[in-house]
This record gives sequence, C-alpha cells and structure tokens, in this order.
Amino acid sequence: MPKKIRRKLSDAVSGSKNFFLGIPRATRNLYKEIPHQVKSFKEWIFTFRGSLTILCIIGTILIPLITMDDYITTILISFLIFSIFAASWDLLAGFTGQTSFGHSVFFGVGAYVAAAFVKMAGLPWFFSMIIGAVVAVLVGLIVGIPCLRLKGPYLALGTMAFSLILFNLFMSGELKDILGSTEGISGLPAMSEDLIITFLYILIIMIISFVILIIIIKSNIGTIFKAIRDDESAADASGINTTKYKLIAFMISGFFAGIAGSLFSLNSRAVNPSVFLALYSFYAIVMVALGGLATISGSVLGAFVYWVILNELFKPLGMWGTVFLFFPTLISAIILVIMIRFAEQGILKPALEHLREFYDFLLGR
Amino acid sequence: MIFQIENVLIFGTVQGSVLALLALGFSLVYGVGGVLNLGHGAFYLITCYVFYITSRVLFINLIISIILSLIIAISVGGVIYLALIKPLQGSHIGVVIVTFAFAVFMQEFVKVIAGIKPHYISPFIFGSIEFLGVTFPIQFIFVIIGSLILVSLIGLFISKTKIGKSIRAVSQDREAALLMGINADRILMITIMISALLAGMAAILYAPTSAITVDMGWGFLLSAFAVTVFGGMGSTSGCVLGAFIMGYAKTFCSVFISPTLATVFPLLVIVVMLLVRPQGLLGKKEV
Amino acid sequence: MRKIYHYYDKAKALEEINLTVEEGSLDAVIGPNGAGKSTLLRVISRLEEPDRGKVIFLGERIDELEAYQIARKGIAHCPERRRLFYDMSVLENLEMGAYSLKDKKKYHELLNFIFEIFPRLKERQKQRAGTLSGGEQQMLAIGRALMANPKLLLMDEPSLGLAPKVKTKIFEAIKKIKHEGTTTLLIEQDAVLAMAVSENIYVLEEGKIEIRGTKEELEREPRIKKVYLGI
Repeated sequence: MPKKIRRKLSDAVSGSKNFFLGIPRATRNLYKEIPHQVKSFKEWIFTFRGSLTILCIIGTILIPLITMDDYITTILISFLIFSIFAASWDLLAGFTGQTSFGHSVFFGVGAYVAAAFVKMAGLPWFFSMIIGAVVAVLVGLIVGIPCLRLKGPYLALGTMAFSLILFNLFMSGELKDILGSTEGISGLPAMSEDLIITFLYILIIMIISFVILIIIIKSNIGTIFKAIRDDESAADASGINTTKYKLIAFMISGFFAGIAGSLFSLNSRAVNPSVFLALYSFYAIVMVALGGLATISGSVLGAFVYWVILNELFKPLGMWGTVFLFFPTLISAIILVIMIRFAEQGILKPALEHLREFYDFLLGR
Repeated sequence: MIFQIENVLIFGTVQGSVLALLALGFSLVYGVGGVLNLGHGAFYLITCYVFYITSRVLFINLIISIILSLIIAISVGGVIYLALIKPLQGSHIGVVIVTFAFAVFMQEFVKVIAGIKPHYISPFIFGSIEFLGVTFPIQFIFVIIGSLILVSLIGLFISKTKIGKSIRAVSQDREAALLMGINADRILMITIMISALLAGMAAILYAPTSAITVDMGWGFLLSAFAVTVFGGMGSTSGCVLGAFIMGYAKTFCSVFISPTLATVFPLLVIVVMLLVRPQGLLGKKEV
Repeated sequence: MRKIYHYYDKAKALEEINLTVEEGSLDAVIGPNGAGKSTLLRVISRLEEPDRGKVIFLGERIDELEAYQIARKGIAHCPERRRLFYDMSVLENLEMGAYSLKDKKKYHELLNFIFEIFPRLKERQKQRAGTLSGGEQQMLAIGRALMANPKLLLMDEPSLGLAPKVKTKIFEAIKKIKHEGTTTLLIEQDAVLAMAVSENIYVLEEGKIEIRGTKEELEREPRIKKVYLGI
C-alpha cells in the first residue's frame, strides 16, 4: 500500500471507530465535509483543472445551442449518459478493485424499471429515474453479497453470470407478459418537448452525479475504497469492515449505473433485453480504460472518444453497408487491448500534462 | 411421461458431451496458468463461422473444411497466448480484461463478416433416427461418440505422454516444474491450443444441430465456467463428471420445468456455488 | 574447473555473497533462520531475480537466463519443503526430474542408482507422492533432483521437519551422492550434520557470509562452537 494512502487510511479508520446505527462514522460524516469542499471548490475553479472543466462544460452546453442540430444533440446525450455509466464502473473497479464484468445488470435494471414506471404508472421521468436507480442499488446488494468473497477473475465471471441470467430472463418468451420478451418496453413519452431541454436535464444530472462521485472518492470512504483495492487483508487488519465497504461500493456504483440506464431508456423512449448484454459492460470498461483507471473524470474523456469520435468516424461509412456500424466496437476492442497492454494509465493524464504545459505557456509562466 | 425421461437421457447425454469438451479445455488452462480465459467461448464461435463459411459458402469438402476450421481455431489460440496472455501474465485481471476484449472483438468481427442473422450448418449426415422411442438427428450420435473419443484421448494424453505429464506438473507446482527444466510458458501455450482444439471440436460436432449466432460464445463460456466451478477447478475427471451432471440437470429442467430456467440453470449453479462454498469446490485457495 | 561466483545485493534477504564451489566438492552454507540461505539458492536457479551481481557457472554467466534454461544447463535444485508433484506417482516424479535428460541409457542408470540409495522408493514407485511419509518425500525430492544428472546439485534444508533417525538416513545418502562425484551446495540449519559431510563451510548471517573455512578451521572458532555446535 502506498504510504500516502496508508496515512490517510489511518485517519479514516480512527474517524470511523464509532458506529452509529450500524453505519460507520465515515458515511455519516460525509455531509460535514461538504462545506469544506465547497470552499475549496471556489479556489479550484481558478486552477488549471478547474478552469478546464468549466470550459468543457460551457462548450458542451454551447454546441447544441449554437448549432440547434438535433443530430449533434443526440450524440452528445449518449455521450453524457455513458460517461455516468463509465464513472460508476470506475468507482467499483478502479477505486475499490472489484472488477465487475456484469455492470450491464445495473444499467439494464435501471433502464427497465424507469421505463416501466413511466409507461405503466405514468410517473414523471425524474421520479422513475430515481426509482430505477434505487432498484439498481438493491440489485447491487443482491449481486454484491455473493461476490464478496470472490477476487479477480472469479468476480469477473461471477458478475458476468448475473448479466447473462437477466438477459435470458428478459428474453424469455414464457415471461413475456411481465418482462416483455424481445420487444421490451417501447413508446415511452419523451422527457421533454424540446430535445435541447432534454439535453440540459441530462447534462445537469451528469454534472451532479460527477460532483457526488468526486466528493465520495475524496472523502474517507474513498480512501477506504482505495485501501481495499491496494491490499484487502491489510485494510482488514487496520480495522476496516471490508465486507461493508465493498457492499457500499457495489451500491453506490449500482445507483449511478442505474441512473445512466434510466436516462438511456427514457431518452431512447424504449428498452429491450440487449441492455443486459456483455457488450454494455464492455462499453463501460473500454471507456474507463481509455480515460484512465481510477480517475473518475477520465470516464468523460473515454466516453467522448468512444461515442463522439469513434462512433461518428464510422457513421459516414454506414452508407456503403451496415457492416461499418459494427466497426466502433471492433476497433474499441483493439484499443482496449492496446491500452491494457501498453498504456494502463489511460490517455487523460498524459493529455492533461500536455495541455497544462500549453496553459502555463499561455499565462506566461 | 416415460418418453420424457428418455428425452432427458438422450438430450442430456448430448449436452453433457458438448459441455465436457468445452469445460475440459477451460479447466486445463486454468490449472496450468491460473488464467481464466474469457475468450474460450470465442474459440467455439470462430470455429462455427469458419466451418460455416468453408462448408456452406465456399462449398469446400466437409473433411477439409473441418480440418481448416480446427487449424484456424488452434492458431488463434496460439496467437492469443503470445499477443495477449503472455505479456500480461503477472496481472490476473489484465488477462481477464484482454481476453474479454478479444471475445468482444471476435463477436464484432464475425458480425462484420457474416452479419447478425443466424446461420445454419448442415449436419454430416442428414436424417434422424429413433432410439428408445425418441426421434433425434443422426448428428447427435456424432456428438456423443466424438466427445467420448476426444475426452478419452485427452485423458490418455495427459496421463501418458511427456507433454501431458508436464502439463500436470506445471499445474501442480509451477516453480518446481521450472526447476525440472520445463518451459512453463510453452506448456501454457500448448494447453491453450488444446483448449481451442477441444472447443473447436465441440463446435464442429454440435453446431450443425442448431442455428449459429454471433453472441453464442458467451453462453458457452459461462457454461464451461459453471461446469468447472461445479466439478472442481483444474480437476479433469471432476470436470467431465460435472459436465454430464450439468447436462442432465439442464435437460431435466427444460423438459419438466421450463426452457427458460434451463438456459439460466448453469448460471444459477455458478451463483449458488459461489454463495455456498466458493473455495470448497473451486479447490484452489486464491478464491 | 567448475566455478560459481555470486555477488549480489538483494534488498532484504542478501547483501553481499561471494562464494565458489569447486568441482566435485560438497560445500555447505549454514546459518540461522531468515539469514537468506534459501534466497541464495533461489537466486542461483533464477526463481528470484537478483538486483545486481552475477552468477557464473562453468565460466558462463547464467543470471540472465530463465529458470527452466538454468535447469537445462545442469543445475538441479532440490527446493525447500520438497515441492513434489503430489498428485503424481513416485515414478512419474522421477521421470519429471529427468525431463531435460535425453539419454535413455543414462536415465535407467540413474534410476537404478536412486533405487539403490533409497530402496524405499523402489518399493513405492507406483504410489502417489502425496501419500508418502515426510522422510520418503525428502528422499523422492533428492532423487528427483538427481535424475537430471546434474553438474551441480543445490539442496535446500533436506533435514527440515524430519525425525533424527530419518535425518541420519538422508545424510548417509548425501554422503553416497558425494562419493559419486556430484558437486553439491547444501543449505542446512543443523550445523553438526552439515559439517560432518562437507568440505567447505560458509556461515551466512543476516545476508552476509560471516565466516568461511573447512570443517577443522570452523571447529576451532569459539563463536561457531558456541552458537552452532553447542559445545
């Protein structure tokens, strides 16, 4: 375990000695850290990273507003949704070391539940989304408990088994009346009349999700997660209830993956069993690997590269045949192999360094 | 009712034979290298499509196309080892991710080549026969006999030949095997190629009985995993036994309870096994 | 002239070792637990990587080879805690020992030699290695290493966890092996036993060779007497 983490860890543990209603202090004290983080937020805006982030957000808002092009807006929406999904995987795999290969479970459950509540109960989309995410949290518990004792490759295949179970259940003809079989649920009302408004809703949700995720990983819980990732038995020996924190990681991750899934079905106004496919877990992994593991913000870059650059690069070729539509995934599989093999830190950090040099140059430093 | 029992018997044997071929290779690779190869299902997929293209699109002679598809499967296995598994052997999770990426790659590659529509491979001999009052395609006999021969050949190979013994030595104690002068890396490569061959044979025997689709690799991968978890990791006999138990149980489910349950059955086995006694049946302590 | 020379620095276990084994001799390294004795052998057979320094065998640097290549060069390592292939039969274990031996005639010669010094193994050649007693397992481990017809035999604590009677048996066998002219480097915690069979003795303490010398020279050292021989 690196020294820095060990030191932070001992702080975190001493703070969480007292349990309240079975909830460790570290969880309860989360809100107390918020004012401090708001203060540092003000300073952060003027740093390099801060200004870059603000710039990116403004850019993302302006592009659809200026172009007023529905096509571009749609692309950006899927980019935003999948960046939440990737970040949720990063929290579980990159920070806590629980490499799940069944992340599509949370995504799919969120998508189905949200769609069902909008369609059957006529709830407004926002509440359906929250319900979808909460159900995904419960699923996170259900998946997390059997997987607690598993490590590495077993965890990967165990979680993958869950995603295939759900895929088969939702595909099955026998349960057509309840789960909708191959057709799934369709004909959902749009989130709002105007696509731009939908886009803004999703952008706001995405920003809030990222802020929450970053607060979590910077808090004591985040430190404990990293400790579990680096050396579980050492973390255990330091008095951390690793079981509890791993479950918390599964639940938090499930929540945000559920939000991403809900937004996905609400935005595309339909959902079918393919959301449970291993392919969706693959999307999350490839986006995180692209951006860089254990850098929540890397997910945004990864999602951007995949959904905006790769996908759009091959769209024009689609005119010549549908085969080209499969190219983005094909190529991203190669990219994933290359990233894991040669550049495990992803492209975010090196890219930031180069940008930083440029920024310093602009400021005349 | 009585016919249904016989149904279970015959279809279960077929299922078990296929699972034995798939799980044997998967478990051998795990034993030798400590590697869970997520690309195992992709070996099946590749062989199916190469077999389909050579036999149904290019109309090459049956025997030649079988040999061709097996050679391709084996060489893909070798390439996977050299390009993906060997450089990342230190990190288990790295291997899992790259083999996963390989499986996705293969699935998408097949989509590009053959499209997403299901395809059909013609059986070696058309027609069906009746046995114990159950009518089934003649191909099933090929499946059962082929699997029987292959599994016993592999058993003999492992226990009698020098390479087979080195495979056992490496899976029992890698360091000690190195001290004997055994090139453990090369043994792992050979094992992966054997596993590709077995998965390929399973494909050639079994694929003609149903449609082939681009996403079928995952199901076979998880079935192989389920059998190995069930029968004990790295244990050859446990693996074959587990395969047949799983085959009968699956068919029993699909005949008497519901076909949906039958498809998720191996997966439920994984989950339950992991829940109840993960290290007990997996055998190795690192779980 | 067969020469081994190591000089390396391993962060925790070993600091500086300079050790030469002459052809045909049996040298022993003794020392307390955790002095780095096993690490020394593991570095020679490349199960562990030295940080720097070199290992020379028959005038050739071998510290950049892979472990299995070193085994093929003729260095047999009989590892600590035996590390047999427990699910294989006694005969199969010996066969694996002869993995890099191409000569069929030599193979049978060696097999007979091993069955001669360890008659127990001959009786139990069909038995699974895991079912043998501790002493028999140690015999098998030594036999397995000998099957490679080694130019240099590295033995790591052959007496570990054995009853005194069995220990003596093992050391009798080691003497016989020495008579055959196999160059051996023995690691042993039981200094009395080790000194009885070996020519040169190295005392390894905290990763350093503290004292070296022949049996007679060491017996004259008062500190050795007190700490290792208990006189």
